Amino acid sequence: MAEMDAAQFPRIYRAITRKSWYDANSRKVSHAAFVLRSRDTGLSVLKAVGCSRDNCLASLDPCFGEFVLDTNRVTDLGLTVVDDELDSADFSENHAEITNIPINPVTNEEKKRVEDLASDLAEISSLHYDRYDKFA
Amino acid sequence: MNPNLQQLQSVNSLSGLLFGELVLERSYKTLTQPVANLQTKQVVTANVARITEPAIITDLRSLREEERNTADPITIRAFSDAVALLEFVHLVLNDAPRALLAADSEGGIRIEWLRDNRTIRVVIPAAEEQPAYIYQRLGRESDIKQFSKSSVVQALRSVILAP
Repeated sequence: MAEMDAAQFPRIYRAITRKSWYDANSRKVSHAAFVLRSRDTGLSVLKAVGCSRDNCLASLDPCFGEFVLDTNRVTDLGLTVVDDELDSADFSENHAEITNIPINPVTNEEKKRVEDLASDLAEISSLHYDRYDKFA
Repeated sequence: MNPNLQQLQSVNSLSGLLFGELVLERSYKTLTQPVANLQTKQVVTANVARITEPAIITDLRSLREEERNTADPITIRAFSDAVALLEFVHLVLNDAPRALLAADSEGGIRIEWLRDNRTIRVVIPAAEEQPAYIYQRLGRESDIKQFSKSSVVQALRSVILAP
């Protein structure tokens, strides 16, 4: 997989598919937004956004908006942001994945790495788009 | 033969009695009101204290409702373990800060207490065979611990509630 060009895309966007991923009172992004599912190979992100209430560029339902992250701060954590494979069946030019996160952690060391990364990614994220004004 | 008489003869009313033993006479008195009235007009009193559900349990129920129609709704295991933990924490540490609750997209629940750069997180996966665990972090130092309700309380005391 080819590494995404951070100069061309200095910011990446993570779709908010769970309302509980952002706490409006404390204005905190939940670490849960950055935990892989067992079937994932990486964390899905968009390279450019411009969603509206009627149009979701990630084609997700539900999608409550997006978090924004600086690409360099993501790679500083030892993670890699990769473009979709050109010959992949679900290739999208606007889609990338944050990789190098342990998948299905078993040992305490792997769990610790997963939780540390989820905390760090939440820390460097902020709310970019609130689709339904749920977080006001 | 009369069928009713045949039925009477087949039941031995003196079964179990010794010869010459007196048979107790039974007497029935007519009730002055129907049995149903006795039950419905009975006044039952009890001293029941009004129990208010902790706010965090209400938050948890809301989270379950939000997730109900998703592809991976919160599982019974995750919900019941979370309720048991949060009730226990509420009971033991009445002054614990409000926890943040989040769904993990696979039917599990993540519960987190934050204070400055301190974190206590409890990860309750969807399935019973996946053990829950505690993640604690103080600055850049972090650790994973085996889950138990008392371990969570201990972690909250030493990390979140400590001066």
